[in-house]
Amino acid sequence: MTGTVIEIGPYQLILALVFILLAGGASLYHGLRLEKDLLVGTIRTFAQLFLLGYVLKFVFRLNSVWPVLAVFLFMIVFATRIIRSRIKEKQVAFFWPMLVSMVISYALAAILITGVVIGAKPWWKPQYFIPLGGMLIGNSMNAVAISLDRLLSDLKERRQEVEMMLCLGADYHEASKDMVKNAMRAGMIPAINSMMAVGVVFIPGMMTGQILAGADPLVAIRYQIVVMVMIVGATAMLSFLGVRIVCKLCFGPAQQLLLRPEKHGKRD
Amino acid sequence: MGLEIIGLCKSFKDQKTSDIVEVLDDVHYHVHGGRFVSIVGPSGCGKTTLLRVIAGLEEPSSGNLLLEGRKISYDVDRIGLVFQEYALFPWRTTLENIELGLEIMEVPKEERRAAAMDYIRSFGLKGFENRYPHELSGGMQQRVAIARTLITDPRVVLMDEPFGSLDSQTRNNLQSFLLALWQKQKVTIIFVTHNVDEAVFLSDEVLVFSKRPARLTNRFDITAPRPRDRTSTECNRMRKMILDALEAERSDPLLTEKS
Repeated sequence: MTGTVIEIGPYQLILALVFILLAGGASLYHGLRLEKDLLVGTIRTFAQLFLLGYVLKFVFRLNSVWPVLAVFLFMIVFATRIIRSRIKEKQVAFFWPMLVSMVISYALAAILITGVVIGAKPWWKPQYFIPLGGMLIGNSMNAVAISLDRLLSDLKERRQEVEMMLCLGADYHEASKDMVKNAMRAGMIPAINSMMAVGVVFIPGMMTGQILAGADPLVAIRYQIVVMVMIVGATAMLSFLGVRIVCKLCFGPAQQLLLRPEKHGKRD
Repeated sequence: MGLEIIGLCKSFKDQKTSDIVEVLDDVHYHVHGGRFVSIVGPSGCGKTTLLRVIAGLEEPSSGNLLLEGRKISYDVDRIGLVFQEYALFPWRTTLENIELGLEIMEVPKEERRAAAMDYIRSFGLKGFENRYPHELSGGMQQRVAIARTLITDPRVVLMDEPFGSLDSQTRNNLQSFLLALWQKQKVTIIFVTHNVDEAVFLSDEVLVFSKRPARLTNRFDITAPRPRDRTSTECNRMRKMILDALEAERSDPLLTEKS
């Protein structure tokens, strides 16, 4: 990459905080009581990103496969935790199966993209593997959370339908077919929408970054295309896999639906 | 032979408090083949749970269920379940709802259509085969639900307050309809109701369950000859005995005071 980046010095950084002061002022004016959250958020943004910067610098300097994979794994564990916390339904213990399938699918996708499509050498070259992996995880995590949330709430809401099908001799697969389909679709729609809107409605962050760093826009868009396609593919793979796994976990060994309505006993 | 319920227990873990809630407490009963057995008990006592366990929708905590002397295998033995709310599929017509079970069993299309049409005729649904559930009256919807269950030729039919949300006229009609059907098809029926009058009118045997955790406390043989007269001395006498047995199980102090 050619060109020079204008460096942001400590004073400029502090100057940027004016925006936070504006937001804080607005919050006070409207009585939103968001000042504390804004403060914590700002501090966290600074702390987390500085920490990330140092970690990345360190990992880049080590230039060895294990630290790269450790960072990658750490991101996936956190993503799984975030998914877990976003889903209101707590009756199904899906953390471990989800984590394992996320590690497998993300590893496959990230290796494919850096090693084969972009052709970085070695495939784990940290400057490529970590940011691309991060984008992959960050973007598809939402889709997985949406899919799973939809699946679990649908299964619970349409419990009677599922059980009617089971009573009529259907297996769990057949009985939950509709809900599985809807959940998969729900997870995919945002990714497809962003493919529709990219470049017209918004300029993606990665491309922005590359252009700021002085890259040729035509190089930047190629990276962006590769990344978007990768995200859609991995999202599809992961939300389909996740929905199937979690759906299986919702049924017992004799194919009973294990999700209970909020209060059991008398139906309302 | 028939259905043997052996030492059935079921408990749930309360989601909020994590307490173990016992719902069924050591239920034993032998439902002989072809009998019409009703279950009555205080509301919320676990009758519905008992049906759900028999239907294979819930795993019992302990105990066994034998059908014709063998452990029930839900892959082979069809146990029909009719819900109070009909649970018809709103996007399917009468015909499509009735043939659903055969569709799942992968019966060829012409064959299942013909079978469903037979049921439509004998269930008085002719002319409504292409209507959707919301276009049917409650009584008709319940007929569709019963037809949908019977068409799969179940060994046992479980009914969970099937007529609970119908007006009394429709209810009486459907009771007679169900009896005629039962006498013709010789199917075993386990019928949950809170209506003692209904239980006495329909059943060979009435079982009274205690309040939660549900235990079987009394059983009554209804020997009055069929077709029954709801107002006969025999029916009245049975009703009185069952109501007395239920009264002893009432948990609501206000109700006990009033009576």
